[in-house]
Amino acid sequence: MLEGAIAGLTAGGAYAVLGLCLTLMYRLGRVVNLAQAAIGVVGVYTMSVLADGGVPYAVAVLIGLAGSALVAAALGYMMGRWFAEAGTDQRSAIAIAYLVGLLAAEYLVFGTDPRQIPGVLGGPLATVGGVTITQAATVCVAAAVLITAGVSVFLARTAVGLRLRALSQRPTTAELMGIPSRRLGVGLWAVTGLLATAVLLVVAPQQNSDQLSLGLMVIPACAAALVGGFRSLVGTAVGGLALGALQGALAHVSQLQEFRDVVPFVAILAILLWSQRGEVWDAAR
Amino acid sequence: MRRVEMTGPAAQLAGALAAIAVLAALVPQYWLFLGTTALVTAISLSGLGIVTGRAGMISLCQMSFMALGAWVVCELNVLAAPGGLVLWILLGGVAAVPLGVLLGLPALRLRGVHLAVVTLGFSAAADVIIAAAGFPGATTFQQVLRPAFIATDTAYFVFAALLFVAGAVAVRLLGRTRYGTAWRALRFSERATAAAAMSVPRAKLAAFALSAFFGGIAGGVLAGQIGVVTAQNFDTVDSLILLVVAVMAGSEYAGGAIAGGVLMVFVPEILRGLGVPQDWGSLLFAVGAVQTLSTGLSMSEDLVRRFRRRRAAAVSGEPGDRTSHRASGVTPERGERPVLVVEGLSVSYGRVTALSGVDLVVPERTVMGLIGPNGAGKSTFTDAVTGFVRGATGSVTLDGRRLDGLPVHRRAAAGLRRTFQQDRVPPGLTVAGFLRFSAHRRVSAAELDEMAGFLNLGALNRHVSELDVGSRRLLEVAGALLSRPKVIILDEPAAGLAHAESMELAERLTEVPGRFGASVLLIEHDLEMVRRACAEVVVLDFGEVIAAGPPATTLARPEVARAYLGDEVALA
Amino acid sequence: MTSSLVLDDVTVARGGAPIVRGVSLTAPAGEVTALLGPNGAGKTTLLESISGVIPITGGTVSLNGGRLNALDRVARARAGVAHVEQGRTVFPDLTVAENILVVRRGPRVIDEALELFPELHKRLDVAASLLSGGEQQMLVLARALAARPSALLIDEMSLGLAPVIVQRLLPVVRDLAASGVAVLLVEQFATLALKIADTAHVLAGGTLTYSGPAAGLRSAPERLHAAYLGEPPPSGS
Repeated sequence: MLEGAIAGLTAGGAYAVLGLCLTLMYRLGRVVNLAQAAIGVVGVYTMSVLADGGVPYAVAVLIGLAGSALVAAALGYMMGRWFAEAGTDQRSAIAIAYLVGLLAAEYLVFGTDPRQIPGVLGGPLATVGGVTITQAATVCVAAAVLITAGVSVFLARTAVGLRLRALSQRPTTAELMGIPSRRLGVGLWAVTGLLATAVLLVVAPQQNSDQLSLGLMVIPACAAALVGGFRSLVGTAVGGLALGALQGALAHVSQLQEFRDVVPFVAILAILLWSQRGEVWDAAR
Repeated sequence: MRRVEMTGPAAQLAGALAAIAVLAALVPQYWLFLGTTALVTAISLSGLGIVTGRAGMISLCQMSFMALGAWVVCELNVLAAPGGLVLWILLGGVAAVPLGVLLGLPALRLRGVHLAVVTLGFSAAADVIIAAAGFPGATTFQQVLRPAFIATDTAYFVFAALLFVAGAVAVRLLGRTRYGTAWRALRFSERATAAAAMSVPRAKLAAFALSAFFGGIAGGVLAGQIGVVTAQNFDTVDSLILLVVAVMAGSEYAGGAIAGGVLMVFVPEILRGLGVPQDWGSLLFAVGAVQTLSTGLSMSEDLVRRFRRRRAAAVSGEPGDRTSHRASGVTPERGERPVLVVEGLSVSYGRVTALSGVDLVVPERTVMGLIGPNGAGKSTFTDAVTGFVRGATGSVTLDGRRLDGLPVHRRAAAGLRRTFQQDRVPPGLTVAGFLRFSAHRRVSAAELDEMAGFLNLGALNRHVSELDVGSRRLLEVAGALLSRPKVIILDEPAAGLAHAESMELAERLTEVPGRFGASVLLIEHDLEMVRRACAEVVVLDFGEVIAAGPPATTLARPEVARAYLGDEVALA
Repeated sequence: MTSSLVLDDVTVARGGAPIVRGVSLTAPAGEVTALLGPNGAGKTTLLESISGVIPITGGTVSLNGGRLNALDRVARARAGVAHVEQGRTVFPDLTVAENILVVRRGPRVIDEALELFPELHKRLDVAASLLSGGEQQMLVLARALAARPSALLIDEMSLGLAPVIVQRLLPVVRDLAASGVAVLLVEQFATLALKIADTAHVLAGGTLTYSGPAAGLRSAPERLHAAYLGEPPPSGS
């Protein structure tokens, strides 16, 4: 069971990082980006096709990262150009259209047959007290922690981070101060696209990696983001890791094994029910 | 698309039935089978049209509701339950309702986007459960039995078509009820919906429940159509595509639902015929949905609007004049018995005190003004009295009944109505539709006509989207008055009106106590209007009452001038 | 050519209804131009159309000879328009220092911006939401200054502030203008604005009903009283 939980941290790290992307997009970009993982899939499959065609792994990874960042930037540009004044609900509906479109495009470009995604983090890293710790799990947890810390520092300390925070608090006022909201929005999409791709590159070789199951990793990522209330980065990271560990542990209980993918939904339901105890009047409506 | 010349509902119904008969007679079996699938999709889309198209919330598990409906039908079939397929389909729809309500609960009070998250999560979870549990009879290939009268594919097509038409009629009739109007209203403004005495959570739950019911019915019809159902029939991705198509086609309209169903079934079919990968279809739908959302017009809305414009051009000629040049109103009088009593009302936001210990009594049959400079706390007062502010202290009593702790819609139903400073009249309604919704009781056509005459609302069959801001404000006032409130709080009703129109409104307000038996609390910055309409004014500054009394003497007091013009103003 | 903000026959509509109709005025650099009028007269709408929050329906707005109409709000800000909105719009979760640095970074930016507001110096690391109302208003003004604007639009500076604080802020606005900025000051509290204004315009019902030296209104308060407290308006519209 402990071994399962630790194995689950691979996926948990991915949930955490994807959840961080969702939280950032919600806070700074006013959208629940359900296409977040599907954007990452673009990069993963680009890498896979190139690597299978003989391109060195490292080069393929770089091209994959660049590809998905580009796609994300294009989607972000459309969002900023046509839906700048739209509310979160409408922008999120657009993201769902993006998700459907991306999944279809990925089937068209990369084919519908499942692929084995090449990776370099195959084996175990160490065995502690009879429990195996894999390289992938280590990297994913480390990535979740580092990215949480990195993003927090970026937002707190850099000029761009400062402007992003200002924009998220008072978009109109920030624009009146000359802060270029559209350009920053495109950058935000590109960076979160890059992060999503990076973490999917690590987990994809470890699991069932057809486009759909990778793209729908956004669901547990939503659960993670909800743990952080779509606000707290640390909360999101902890939520993602815990969710992954829980799923991994359940995978070792034979009666529940096939239902472990229900866990994210149960988590979402529980968190939402708990978080809406009081009546809230949305100020704008 | 059908020609739009056929206008009346009866004519549309007849046309639809004729179309079904012609299609069933002429179209070859294979295409008819696909047609049935399109109808199943259309029924499901009608459900999505309610929750997404009308109420504006994103639901991503319509396929799961369909799966549940199909599961119920298969199970009853295996059990050889009495009643036959038609009853089973109905039961499948009913079974989906509690599920819809359960999923709606977590999203009741939060932003609509949370419903997207919870339904997408459920959709994926349902995939897992279905894959694990399987459909009853699937492993033994036990076909769902159809009764003799719908045994052939042609007959089943007609059956599905009639079900769709029945659903469309039901949605249309429901659209005229208070709930139907409330869905369109809460999409535009939850606050205004509650202020019209409608419980927002209940309206939302009704939308979820109905949407699930349609999904369940569609699933059951599908089970009857294909006989043996498997998990592959209900993918998460299909739920996503369903939503995208619902947005693109505008499935809150029957025509949009049918168009969506036809697109979803026949586009992949045509692509397959051409040897093109079917995923191009989904890509097309996604692009279409983005396009729809960027223009704000679905395929159906586009048609409806064009049609409406043509009709408007045909019947236009009535100007937007809101002044009637009628005889002036009556002299404002002050009643005696207190009807709204506010005591010690205080509100603070963090360190900022917005209201401190405000006492205010509105007597019956009185128009009272509430004035004060910007930021004095007038809007906060309105919000607190009507129940929008949590954590307000003090007490509010209406006609002897304590309102403290009651939610917004209960206060409104008790007879305390308000209007909003911003435009909060849902643009998707007709003038008459809005008035009936806001009235919260049965009103006769004569009453509507009388009110339209009283406030110069113009033609009752116009759509709110055709009105300018000023007319919408008057419409809001009219709707609140029709509910026969004890007290109506008007928050700057003359914003957007020209000066002459404001004064005309002031004349009409003087008549309100006599005609409708209501007291009016008028918040207004046009002091000339306040002078004309009010028997008494209360002046608020920095969240406190600084003066009260008849307008002429009160406005002349130095502390009032100071509040308005700044301190140390010397006035002769 | 002297630098100034010029409005020529500006019309602005909201939701189809015209709020501002044919307003022409000039706010020269180095002066305070007061825009007065009762609640709902269209003052805020006019400012918003100058900074690009809402589009202009007709007429032109130009700054130092360059037309602003076609620019979006970000470009207008970069062209030198600074808009201090109503309601003390600090970025609540940013500190005082961050609120200023978000506009422009540099070693001396904070010192320059706070030159006129030394009391904020000791609160640099405090979140803006924790400041008092007066301090927030100072911060918003300082933030606008950090952009080194040529035109400064100030909307209802005194709103919800205690008189003593307003007394403190008024001379600052005067000093700002003296440093070469064109200040357009929207104030509901007319007597306050008139104390520091060179020129005054009264907006009522969307049109200008008075344009002239501020002294002209100072000496004839009954004109103001009529416009605000609603004796029949002069034009009799």
